[in-house]
Amino acid sequence: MDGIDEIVREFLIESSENLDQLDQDLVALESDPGSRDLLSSIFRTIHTIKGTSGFLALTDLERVAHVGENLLVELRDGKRVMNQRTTDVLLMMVDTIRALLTKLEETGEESGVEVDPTIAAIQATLDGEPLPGEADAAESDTAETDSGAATQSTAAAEPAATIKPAPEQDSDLSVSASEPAQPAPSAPAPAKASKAADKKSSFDATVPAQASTGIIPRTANASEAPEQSPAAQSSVKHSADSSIRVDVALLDELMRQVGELVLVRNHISQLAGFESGELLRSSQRLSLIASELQDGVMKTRMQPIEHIWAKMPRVVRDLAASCKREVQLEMVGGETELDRSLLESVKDPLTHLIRNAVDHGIEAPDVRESVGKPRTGRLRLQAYHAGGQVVVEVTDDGAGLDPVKIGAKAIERGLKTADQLRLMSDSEIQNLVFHAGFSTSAAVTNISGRGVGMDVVRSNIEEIGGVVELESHPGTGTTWRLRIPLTLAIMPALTVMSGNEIYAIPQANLLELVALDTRKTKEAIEEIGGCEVYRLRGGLLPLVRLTDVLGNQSQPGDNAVIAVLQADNQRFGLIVDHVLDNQEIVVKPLSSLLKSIGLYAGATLMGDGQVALILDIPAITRRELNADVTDALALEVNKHVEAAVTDSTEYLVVGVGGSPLRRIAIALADVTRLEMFQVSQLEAVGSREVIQYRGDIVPVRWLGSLLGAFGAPETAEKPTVIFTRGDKTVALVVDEIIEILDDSGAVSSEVSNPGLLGSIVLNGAVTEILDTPAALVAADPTYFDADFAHADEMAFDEILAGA
Amino acid sequence: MATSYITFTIADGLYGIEVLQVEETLGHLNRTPVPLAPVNVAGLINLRGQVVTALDIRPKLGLEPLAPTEESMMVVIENGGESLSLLVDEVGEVLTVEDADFEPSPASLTEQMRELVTGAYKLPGQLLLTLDVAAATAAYEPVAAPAA
Repeated sequence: MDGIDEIVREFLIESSENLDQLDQDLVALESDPGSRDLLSSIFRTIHTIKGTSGFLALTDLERVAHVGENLLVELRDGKRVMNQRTTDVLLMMVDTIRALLTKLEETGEESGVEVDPTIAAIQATLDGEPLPGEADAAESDTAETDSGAATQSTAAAEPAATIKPAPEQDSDLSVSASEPAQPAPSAPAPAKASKAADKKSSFDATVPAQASTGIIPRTANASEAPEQSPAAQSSVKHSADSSIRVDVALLDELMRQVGELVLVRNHISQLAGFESGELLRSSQRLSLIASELQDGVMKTRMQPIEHIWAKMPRVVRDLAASCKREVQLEMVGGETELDRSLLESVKDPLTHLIRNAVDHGIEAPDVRESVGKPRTGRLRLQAYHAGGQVVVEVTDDGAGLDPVKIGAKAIERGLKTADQLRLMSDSEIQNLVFHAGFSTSAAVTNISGRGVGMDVVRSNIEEIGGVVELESHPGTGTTWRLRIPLTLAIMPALTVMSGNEIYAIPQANLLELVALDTRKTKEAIEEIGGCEVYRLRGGLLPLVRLTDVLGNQSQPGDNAVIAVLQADNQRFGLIVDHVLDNQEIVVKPLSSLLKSIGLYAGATLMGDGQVALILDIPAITRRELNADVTDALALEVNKHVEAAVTDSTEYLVVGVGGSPLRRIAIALADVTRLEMFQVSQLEAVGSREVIQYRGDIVPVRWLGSLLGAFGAPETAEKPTVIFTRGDKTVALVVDEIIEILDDSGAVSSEVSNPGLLGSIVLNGAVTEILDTPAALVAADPTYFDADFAHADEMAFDEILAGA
Repeated sequence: MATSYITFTIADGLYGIEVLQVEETLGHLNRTPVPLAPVNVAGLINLRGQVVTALDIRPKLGLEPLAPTEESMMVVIENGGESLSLLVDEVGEVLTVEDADFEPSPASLTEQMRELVTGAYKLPGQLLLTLDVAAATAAYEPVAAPAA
């Protein structure tokens, strides 16, 4: 089984579904012999099987399909009229094909199934001869009986030939089992058969595929079913046999009930939270079972994304032909699974992106050649799981989005001013294609083609709680990345308080939380041109107060938490009063009356039964961070930054050593974070000290010992300055964090020691300036990548110049 | 012909909604306010695991909306496939009234009121005003000051 290629497996699954359809079609055809639709459908199926088997070098299969196809051609062309005999041989052909497929699935090869009798029977029908040696066929059956799955084909084939005159085709199978041609139908066989025959039951089982057809001559069923069971029991699972079809409505209902269960579980966990003993244990168990059940039910609704990919090769082929492009489509990760309802919602945006990529992304072959690319463009569809989401990428190696052209278009359409554009990064400009105003006019498509309906793509994806990202390099290609939640019904969310009410923020939008304590709230939040901002690791984060968003009048409290959120490639901090919890919430739809407010993605029930609203972060982003505000901010920030660059350098001043305490200034731009560590947390690796920090092992150096300053008081806890560059992190332990100052107007000298750049008078005290790169290299010799070394010397020089 | 109405009071008025349009009546449940919602949305309630929007028709009747924390009984009605809950002061009995006693709303009512109050049954000593469910559940858009 392992030896079977993916392509063969797909062929098997597809064919076995087709064959079930074929059985029904053939019978329907008998009652409506002239139906060209049915004949064409049957012909197509057999033709596909023939084609694929030829491609896969499955010669027996190809031979059977080939001769069957000949017969079908005559039927289709009206040269032959459908009668009992033709139906029988065609069904026989279907059974033989099925047997070959089963064999192929079990052993990886098709040998061992007798195909000649079937071929002969079909050929005889074609030639209008009586059927050849029925006795021979029967004999070959018994000879085959030992060889596992091979039997069923011949078993099916033989009776099909012999009971040719059997009048009723849609026999009741449970009855048929009682008059077997070969005795010994074991008990389960008729049961299975009758169940399968009950097509009306929602349990549209594809159990023994042979039985499910419900129309092959009765004796065939009776005899093959028992032989089927050893195969079914073997470790080999039949692709078709191991699955059942279930009504989607039933799954939806199950999902809803599981949702309720999760709520009850949440409530019980809350009740049990303060108890101990039995209740707590039971509640923990309940919690575990509910989680597993939730996972299980969610899995039942999952379907591989290839269901919607299946049509893409055709779309790409046709479109490439009509646009005169040469495109090679690659699809990776088609087995990635996604909730069924989401799959439907993703289909159109994905098709749109693919069409766009072929139409506008990939250049004409001649153009490609002239820029040194292969004539054939590559379009890659990739799906994978990442961070609790499904990511679907559409990547082309085409022209990419040209920020210059997009910018020009944006100015022309009045979306942005030249000043605003100047401040935007290329990626921000490229993201303008998502702007609604960008999509409607045909003229816009001329800029580089992109942008048609991109706002629709985005809003469709956001509707299902997803995100669209765009990454494009002019000249080399574009990647559209859809991030889609696994399911709609239950999502992880952060619950926060604003005023007296609880709101839920989807985790998908949440980057991190920053707690501001009472004393620092007022200082930490600064204002630029009326907009509140927060300095987050050197960058300025625009802030939005949830109370303002909700139009509440409540006074800003002493305590506040900034939830750093991201949507639409924009990042902002939402100030909430406090954060409660992370929990799985069940999304309940909102009344149409409330949807138009455009702030809420839904509602949910808290453990105590209270209703909480789920915030629609993308909508809030668009509402609160309208481009102009962001631009105004960017302008202000720019001035601010320019001022900072020309006037001064900011320093973090730390103290090392005992008395006298040496004041050391570290350029603030290099510092990532400040942390307090227990000295006991430091661990030794070889001769070095390290600490575990955010899941990484981080090298640690004591700044005091680096600079030869000793005698610091022994304390259990030490402040630590964290430096991060790319994936490298280094921690420097200091003895005291003193202040943050800028050096404007400071007196400096270059009287220097190893490890220092000079000294400076800051806030009235002589302060030594740390040679940060040197200190960091001392802690981690690989801290500066070769690529960065030069850049850092530059920074270093600037510091010197500033000092 | 006679029709049955669920009756309830709001302020001093007696109102009725046809029995067939009412799903159930409820005692007080906590309402979660919905900031920025239309004025007549009183909040969200948890009705046995379903989130249902509670509506206050007082503003439509020209009355002050109920305070968010004020307790209130509710009449749950079905409109357009979704359940909505109307806040009422007190749920009364089910009254079966004769069509002969019915009179449509007088022409002196504002158009908005006429949409909401379809007419009145003349009961002894009191009028039973019948409400149109669709109008009662629509978002309230303050009309260009009919009083002014």
